[in-house]
Amino acid sequence: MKSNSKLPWQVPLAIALLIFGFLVTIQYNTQVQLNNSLENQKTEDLVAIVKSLNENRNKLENELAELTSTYQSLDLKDSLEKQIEQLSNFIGTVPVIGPGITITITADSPLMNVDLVDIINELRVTGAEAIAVNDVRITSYTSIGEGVDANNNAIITINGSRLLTPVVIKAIGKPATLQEGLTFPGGIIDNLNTLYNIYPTIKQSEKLTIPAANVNTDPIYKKKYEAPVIDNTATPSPGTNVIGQHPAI
Amino acid sequence: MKLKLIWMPLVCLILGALIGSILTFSVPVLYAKYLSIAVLAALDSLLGGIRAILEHSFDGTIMLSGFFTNALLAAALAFLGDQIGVDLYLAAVFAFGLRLFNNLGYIRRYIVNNIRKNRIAKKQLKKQGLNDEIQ
Repeated sequence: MKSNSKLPWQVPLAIALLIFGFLVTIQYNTQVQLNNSLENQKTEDLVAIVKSLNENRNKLENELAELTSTYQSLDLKDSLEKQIEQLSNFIGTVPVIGPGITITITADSPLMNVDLVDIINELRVTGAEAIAVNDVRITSYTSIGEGVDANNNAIITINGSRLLTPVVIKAIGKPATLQEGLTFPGGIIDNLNTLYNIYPTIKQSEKLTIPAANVNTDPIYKKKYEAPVIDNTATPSPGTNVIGQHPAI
Repeated sequence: MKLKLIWMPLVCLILGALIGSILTFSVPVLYAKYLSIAVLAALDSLLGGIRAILEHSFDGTIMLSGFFTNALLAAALAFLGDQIGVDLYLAAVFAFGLRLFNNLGYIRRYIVNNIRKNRIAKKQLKKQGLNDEIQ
């Protein structure tokens, strides 16, 4: 070792090696990156890559279509469920609860079926959303009629069966409005009082339960009417010659 | 102290490699070529330094300055060659490669000679020992 070098030989060598190691690893990193970049791939490899990527893409597209259709059907299900709810509410096939009034007519009242119909109509006019007579839901299919019992006494029938007394009419709606509609001077209750000596009692309540109607939702005779479609593409009957068409061979 | 210093270059080499791999830093693809030629030049300088150590003519300053200037100049020359459309890159690879193998050859020869010399010396020592015993 030369005497004019102050440092032992290991120190400069160590510095050089430190830098060298660093440079080599950086170069290695770069080279690895270069080899992994698409430009340095073989054509066959690139073709394979493109193929697999295409396959992957197709798979994902299929999945997307599937999921979209599922999503739409879910959406459809939601809207159908809502519609079912609305319709069953409308035709009264679900039990309902809400504020309203209860009208009780005692057994000794000479109530006639028309009076009952009048009361129900009045309730409808004043905004009753659901009505039940003796827990029979009044729907568009309900019949209120008259008949005679074994002793030839007039009775009221509801849906063909005898209406028992006392008659309890429940109506869901705004209680005050419903009561007002029945009890105004010259109104139906007034008439019943003065003309027939019927004194119905009216009670407002915050929570009334009205049962579901027993409605046959599967009609036997009626069918949905389909407007006839005028078929323009009907094949001409034999013998008629249509201009612009070749006769069938 | 001496024993510790012997391991210092090796430790530093590993340390440098570690730093490089921890940083995962990579040169832009455009300059990868220049870095590779710089690495080649640096390797040549290192082997030259080791040869000088074996020849007992090592000078730290000369080695380090050669290390840096060779690396930088090699990269710069390769860059210049690219600018003027001459493959100076190849010339640098050729020159440094040649020197590298020369240095390697010298180091190899030195090590082989050294081992041989040691073995002969040992044999002679043994012989002497035997002679001493006999006598």
